[in-house]
This record gives sequence, structure tokens and C-alpha cells, in this order.
Amino acid sequence: MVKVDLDHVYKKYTGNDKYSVKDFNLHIDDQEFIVFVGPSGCGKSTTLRMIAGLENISKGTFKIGGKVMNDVAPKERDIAMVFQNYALYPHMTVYDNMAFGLKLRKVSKEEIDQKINQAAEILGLKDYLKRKPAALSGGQRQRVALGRAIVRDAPIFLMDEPLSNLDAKLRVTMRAEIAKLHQQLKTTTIYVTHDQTEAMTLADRIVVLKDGEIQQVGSPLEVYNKPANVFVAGFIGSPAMNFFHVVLQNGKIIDKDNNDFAIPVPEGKLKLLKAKGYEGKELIFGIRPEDVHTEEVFLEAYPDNIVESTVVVSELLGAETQLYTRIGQTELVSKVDARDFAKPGQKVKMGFEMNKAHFFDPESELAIDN
Amino acid sequence: MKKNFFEKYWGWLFLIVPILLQIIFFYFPLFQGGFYSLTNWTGLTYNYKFVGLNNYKLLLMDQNFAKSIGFTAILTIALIVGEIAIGILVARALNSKIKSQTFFRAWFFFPAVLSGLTVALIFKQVFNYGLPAIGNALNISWLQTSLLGTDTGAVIATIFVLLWQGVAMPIIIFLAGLQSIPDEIKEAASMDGANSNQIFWHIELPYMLPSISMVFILALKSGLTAFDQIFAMTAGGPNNSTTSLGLLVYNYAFNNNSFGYANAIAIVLFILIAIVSFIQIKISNKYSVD
Repeated sequence: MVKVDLDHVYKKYTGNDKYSVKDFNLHIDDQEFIVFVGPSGCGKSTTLRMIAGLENISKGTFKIGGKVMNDVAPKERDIAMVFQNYALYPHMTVYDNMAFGLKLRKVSKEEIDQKINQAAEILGLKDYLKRKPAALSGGQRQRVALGRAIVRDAPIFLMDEPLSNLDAKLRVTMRAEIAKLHQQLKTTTIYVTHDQTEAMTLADRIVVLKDGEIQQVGSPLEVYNKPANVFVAGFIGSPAMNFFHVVLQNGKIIDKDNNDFAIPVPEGKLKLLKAKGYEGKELIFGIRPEDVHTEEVFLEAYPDNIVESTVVVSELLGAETQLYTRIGQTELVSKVDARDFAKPGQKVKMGFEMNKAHFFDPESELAIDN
Repeated sequence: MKKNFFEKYWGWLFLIVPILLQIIFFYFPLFQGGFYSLTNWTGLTYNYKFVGLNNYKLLLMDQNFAKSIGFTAILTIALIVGEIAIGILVARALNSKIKSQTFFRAWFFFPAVLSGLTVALIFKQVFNYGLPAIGNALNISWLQTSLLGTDTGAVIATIFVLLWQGVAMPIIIFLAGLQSIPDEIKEAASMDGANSNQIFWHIELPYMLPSISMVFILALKSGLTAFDQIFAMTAGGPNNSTTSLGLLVYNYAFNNNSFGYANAIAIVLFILIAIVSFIQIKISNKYSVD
């Protein structure tokens, strides 16, 4: 059992007057796959490096298995890490790269052999053991980096944007492989990425970060369906959620700036909004691109939810079309059926699926409805 | 057609001057030296006789040559080992996070911009007057006479001065080598369980092999051809104990007027440097980081 606990962890770099990581609280269970996600500079890599021991912790406690590890050297923490640029030892063969950590730990030659063969089998590296990193492709190097972590049998894996140097196709393959690997090995893993698709597909729990602060911790579905604030709502999901500044009046939300639309809020949500005192007040209304419809059936069923918009750009992606349209001055992105491809300048009727609408307080930007 | 030819080869125009200079001042003297080493030319007249390999035979029996080879070998080995070991140590210190890093980097490079002659003359004063004064003041008997007055003392002093000045350049070279190592690789090694000692031996050293091999050749060259500092400081004495091969060549050529014989020594020196450099490059290519 390896639990990882971060209690009120802060990080301030010398010479900086602001904290890079603020009041970070997270309790990671054994075998969990945790993904830190956020834009660059949000403190996700810094936090990972504090866990690794490569950066010291300015304030707070960090525990592995209940033991405080703040001042323990990286080599004593028994953590394996995969770096963004692979960080393979260029002068060593693939075999020696993987064996290095084991040799330092004085593991017997037979055991090293056996472990490396096993890892090479899993990662499809058997034919490359005698090569040096320079003679490998990006994907193979990434696999060696993973192999180096696997052979260590470390109870915790850290991965710092391991896929960001690969091309799009390889990234998808390797993503699946990492998922498979975690199912096999069940090692507690902390994974850093700025790619929300990686976060959604790999994580047991996602930790969304911004400006060194945790915005939300939750399962991918929770984070997607119940974003805690405007930032999380906008960051998770691709294309991003659409936001409108609206005013709630007589059970309808009215576009604040231009009065371009007035859409009724469904019963349940309306009750909640009223109960919280938002009647007649300003709100941020969010709707995901996939919850904006152009199908006749929907438009007929919800005639009150229709908004008129002008197409700016239309992207046909094969199975679906992404419509970039304009409602008054506000941009609206929608994911619709491929058949609903429209030319720029064309007027299109958009139906909002209000049961999936999100509401946020305009000041705190926190979600109201959950 | 004519234009085409010019367009294709006009780059050579730029090379003509350096090539000519190199031929006149490098290759021509080299072959000339090789030729004179087979004669008994005195360097004073244009009369000389061709003596075949006689000069080289004489070399084998020359006590001075043997002694000089011995001193040169000791000096060269000391310079190679010293410049590499001290160079790496200082470079590592300068590469770590210390205060006034820039100042110390400039400070350690300073000896490299001084003329060898100046350095030697300063240290001559230090050895002849400075250290004995300290020895007298503190009553340390072995310091009371000049180090340059005894065989061993002179050898040690010479090595010290050459190292003091010679290590400046290697420090900069090693510093550049150390800085070429990505931080991630060292971090990966520390995550793999390596302590700083192990990181040095397994990661930093392999990365620095190209720098080491460069410093090796520099030190080798400066050791085998050492001349000006020794000339200024000990002039080869006492008892020829600090006569380097370079100095020996000079003495034979200009003091004994045996130009032919001096050339033979120079040729042997040239071959020695060529062989050692060649072996060294072969070895370091094998182990270096691609």
C-alpha cells in the first residue's frame, strides 16, 4: 500500500515574490492514476518535481505511505520518473539505460537480465536492447524511458508530459499503451500534461490546476459534467465550452449585452437558481459545443430554445462538423452533424439543450448549479 | 564555360592566402627540418655534409637527450594529469550554484591571458626571494633556500608554474563540457538512485570525454614543447634537471651550433606527439557520447 499525501504544500522559488504552488492538498490512493492538468505555468510540473524530490518544498508536508518525505533525497524516495525529453543516457545502450538504476541498487545480474527482458517484452523493445538512444525513433525512446521506470519496480511512477514530444498519431498509440501498462502493473501514477484528452482518457482522478492552485479534483466525468468553475469548464472539453453573460428574468435567461436571445431555463435548474437568489441578476451561462443542436427534430421539439446565428467558419471533420458562428457579438462554437455543414455568412438556427446548461456566478466564477 | 569554371572554384580564391602561408611557415620548415636532421649543418655557414642517420644514432647515446626525455616525460604526465584533474575539479566547483560565479570564472581564467614569460619571471622572483623570506620568517628550513636551486625543487617548481598557467584554459573547456549536459539527464540519474559521486562517474565523465581528449592534447603539446617559461625561470638548470626537449633543441642549435643534430631531436619530438595524439584520439572516439 502506497498512499501519497500532500498537505498544504507551497512552493516559492528564490527571487520570486509569488508562490508557484499554493496550498496544494491532495491525497492519492494506492494504485490510483492521477493526472495533473492545466495550462503552462500552472505549477503542475513544479508539484511533480517536488514529489520527485528535484525541487524542495517551501511549506507544507509531503508523505509517502504516511512517512514525511520533505527532506528525503530523490534516490531515497524510491520513485521512478519519466521525463518529457526522455532523458535517456546517450552513451549507454537501451539495456544499460534500463539497467542503470538496478545496478546502482546492487541487484544481481540474473535478476537485472530477467527484469529487462520482461520489460522489453511488454514494450516491444527486444530487438533494440543493444542500440544506443541516438539510433531509436521518438516513440522507441519514449518506450525505453518507460522501461527504465518499469524495471525499477518502484511503487510510484511520475510522468512529466511524457507524450508531448511525439507526433499526433504516436501520441494516441502511446497513450493507450500507458493505460494498458497501468492496468497491468497497477503502480500509483502521477501524470502531468497540458493535454486534456490525455487527462480524460488516462486518469482515475483529474487535478485541474491554474496559477499554482487546485481548481478541481475529480473523476474525468465529474470534471467534465460538473465543472467547479468557469476555468475548469472552459479548460476541459474540446472545443471549449461557450460562455454568455446573461440575466435571469421571468424564468428565462436573456443575453445581457444585445438581447439576442431569451431562452427558458428548465424547471429544476430554475428552482435552484431562484433559491440561490439569482432572479433578476446576472449569470454566466455555459453550454458545451455538443449540446448545441441543428437537427430539425430538436428544433421542432424545443422551439423556445432556438437562437439565430451567422456562420463564420465551418470545419468538416468527417463524422461531424464544427460550426464557428456569431450570435450578435458573441462567438458560439458547436459540434453538429456532418450534414449540417454551412457556408460562411449563412444564417443557422441553433437549439440549446438547456438540461445540460451550466451556470456560474459572474463574480466568483464558481458553478451555481452543483 | 570560363564563367562556369570561375563560379565553381571561386571559393579557392579565399583559401590561397592561408594555404600559401601554411606552406611557407609550416610545411616547408617541417620538410626542411627533416632534411637538415640528416646533415651536420652548424647553422652558421652554408657548408654542410650529408651524414645519413648519424644524428639519430648519436641521439641514442646522448646522456643529455636521455635526461631531457625523462624530465619532459615527467613534466608532460604531470601537466596532463594535473590539468585534467584540477581542471575538472575547479570546473565542477564553478558550475555549482555559488555566489559571485562570474567573478570566479574570470578569476580562474586570468592566468591564460598572461604571457608565459611574464608568469615565469614573476614566479622566479617568488621562488628566489618571496618563499625564502617566508621560510626565514617562519623558520622553515627547507623553504629558506630557493626551490630553484635543487634538482627536485626546480622540477617541482617548473611543474607548478606550468600547471598554474596551463590549467586556466582546461577549466573553461570543462565548464563548457559540464554545461552541455542536460539537467534532465542528471535528474533522471538521481531518480534512478545515483548519488553525486555516481552521477559524476557514470554521467558527467562520459559527457566530458571530448573535452578531456581536447585538454589531453593541449597538455601533451604544452608539456612536450615547453620552452619559454622554463627558459626564463631555470634556463634548464640546475644540472640540466629541467631541460625540456624544446630547450635541448634550442641549446644544441644556438649554443652548440649543431643545427643538424637539433633538428633530429625536433623530428623525434614531432613523431612522439603525432603517435600519442593519434592513439589518444582513437581511444576517446571509442568511448565518447554521440
